[in-house]
Amino acid sequence: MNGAEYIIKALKAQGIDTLFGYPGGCIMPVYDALLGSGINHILCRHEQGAAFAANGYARSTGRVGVCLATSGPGATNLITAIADAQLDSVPLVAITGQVPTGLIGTDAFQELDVLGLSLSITKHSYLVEHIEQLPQIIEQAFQLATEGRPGPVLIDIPKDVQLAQIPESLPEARLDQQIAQTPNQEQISQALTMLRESKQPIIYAGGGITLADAVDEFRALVDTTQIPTVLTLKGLGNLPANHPLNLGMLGMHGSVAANNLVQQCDLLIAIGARFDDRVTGRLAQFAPHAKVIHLDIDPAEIGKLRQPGCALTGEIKTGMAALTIETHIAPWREQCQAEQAVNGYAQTKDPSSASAAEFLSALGELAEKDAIISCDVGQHQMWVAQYYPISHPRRHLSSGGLGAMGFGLPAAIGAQLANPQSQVISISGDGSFMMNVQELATISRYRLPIKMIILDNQALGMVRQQQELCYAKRYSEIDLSDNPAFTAVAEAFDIPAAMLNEDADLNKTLQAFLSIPGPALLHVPISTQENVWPMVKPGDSNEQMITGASA
Amino acid sequence: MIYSMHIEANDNPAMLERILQTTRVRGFHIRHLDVRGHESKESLRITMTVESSRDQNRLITQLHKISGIMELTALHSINGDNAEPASATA
Repeated sequence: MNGAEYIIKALKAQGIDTLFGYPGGCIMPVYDALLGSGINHILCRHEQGAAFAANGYARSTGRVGVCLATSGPGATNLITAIADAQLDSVPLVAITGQVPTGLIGTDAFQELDVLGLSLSITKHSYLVEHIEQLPQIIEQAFQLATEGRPGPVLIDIPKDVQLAQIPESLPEARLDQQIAQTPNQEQISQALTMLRESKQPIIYAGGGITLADAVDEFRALVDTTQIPTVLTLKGLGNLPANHPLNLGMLGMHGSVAANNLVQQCDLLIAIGARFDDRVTGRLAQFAPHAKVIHLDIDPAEIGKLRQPGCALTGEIKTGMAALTIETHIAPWREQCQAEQAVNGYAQTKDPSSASAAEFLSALGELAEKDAIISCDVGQHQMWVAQYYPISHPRRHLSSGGLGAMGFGLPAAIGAQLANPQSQVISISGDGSFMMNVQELATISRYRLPIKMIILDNQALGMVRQQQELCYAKRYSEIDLSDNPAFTAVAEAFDIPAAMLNEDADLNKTLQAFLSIPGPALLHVPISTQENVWPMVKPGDSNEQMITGASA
Repeated sequence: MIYSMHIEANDNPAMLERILQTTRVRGFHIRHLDVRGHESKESLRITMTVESSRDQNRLITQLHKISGIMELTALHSINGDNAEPASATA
């Protein structure tokens, strides 16, 4: 058995049934070993598409996504999607071919220092220098990708290592099992004291709850304590959208109520959240009256940006269970609910075109309740966060930390393959859609029944909005009015497509679109002037949010 | 503040680069670096002095996340002329 054949065997042993990749010179031995292996390889049309598809596969399941590429340009094309996995803690293993060991350092054809490139965008990365290292490195890579705070791991494998024979006797793989840290009793007692003394607590819940597979425990915490809750972009779905204690998303485009109430609270219980600048606005003025209890598995997040009064460091289920007590905060809870009822998101309406808010609300009514929504990045991403009723965090795929345009379409591919029975809907802006438009070929080839929606404002809308509000309407390079005819593009890939006309019945059009059995695309023109409200300008405090002229 | 620390790490490809990159990205400037290989253990012994306005823990917790770091000890911190012991972490 050679190294390439061993890689396939090891992947199967890890339970990997689907790979996303693109072949090339230095990864050819692995592609040869793939033939007849039983692993389902999805040929994407760009390595970035393959890595985002693996990323979507992982986000929607919690299982490791695996992508494959050749050396040099194949590896560099993976980088954006690997970085996305790093910033959003997505378990991903990327395998790249490398030039033979004897050629490393000679500027050989398609040679790049992929290990060096990977350092800041991975949880860990390996260069396999000898065939004997291969078994242990693959084992370690999968362990590292999933344990503790998940993340991406890259394995760079020279071609001669792929072709070398695996020795008959190998040292057994040594794995240092990380023992999950749990909060100690003293920390828990301190947190309970802070909770009991608080009159105005708020829970600030992030994506770490999903990563810890702790959504049920989290909902039990909220239901028992009856503490009003705000969610980050990645935390959406931790509570159902219509839960009476769900104040919505906080931060730059959060609800007015969520931002106002966080500024007033006296205790902020941060769970699996990292005080990201898009959440806090000007950090020094964020939740100025609040003591903080911070629950996080990653010790590096504790005190990184906001010093907590009490840290429950380690796996968060234990900390949440300890805090699941009855509280006596009825007046505060009623104040929060009253404000949430009148101060949600503030959408303006341009009567000349469909409003994104109306469209997404209708979609939320008509789509299956557990549909997976894969977003791109920009205004539409925020509108989805505001108006689409996310049922569970793993049903909402969104590039939060990196904010990578081009994420949505390939991530939907991975999600659909991982969840063949689920309805998968990708929602893109016109700018984002064009960034990985080649993946229409992948969707068409495998006849994946993804429903693709383009909210087309013929502009780079989020940049346009910031230029309008922060740069005195000096619009620079945001015009996309020469977009292609998206329906014609889809049809060229043998994908049925339609445009939502101004006078069409929205519900009927959506019902017809969602009931198409295979892939389909819906082009939804919206006004270029439509903005996302509310908004906190970059660098401003959340108290300085603006709500738009007619909000 | 000036901080010193001792690190023992596996001598894996790019281990030193990882440590240096983490140090730079997290806002610490290297003032002194001593690296010695330990042949029998295939490990590196590193003594590093860094300077930053940020708290030392901001770097220590990030360095701890690097796979292959076996031991990490904060030695001491200096603020101006005043040397003071720092809390040890391992």
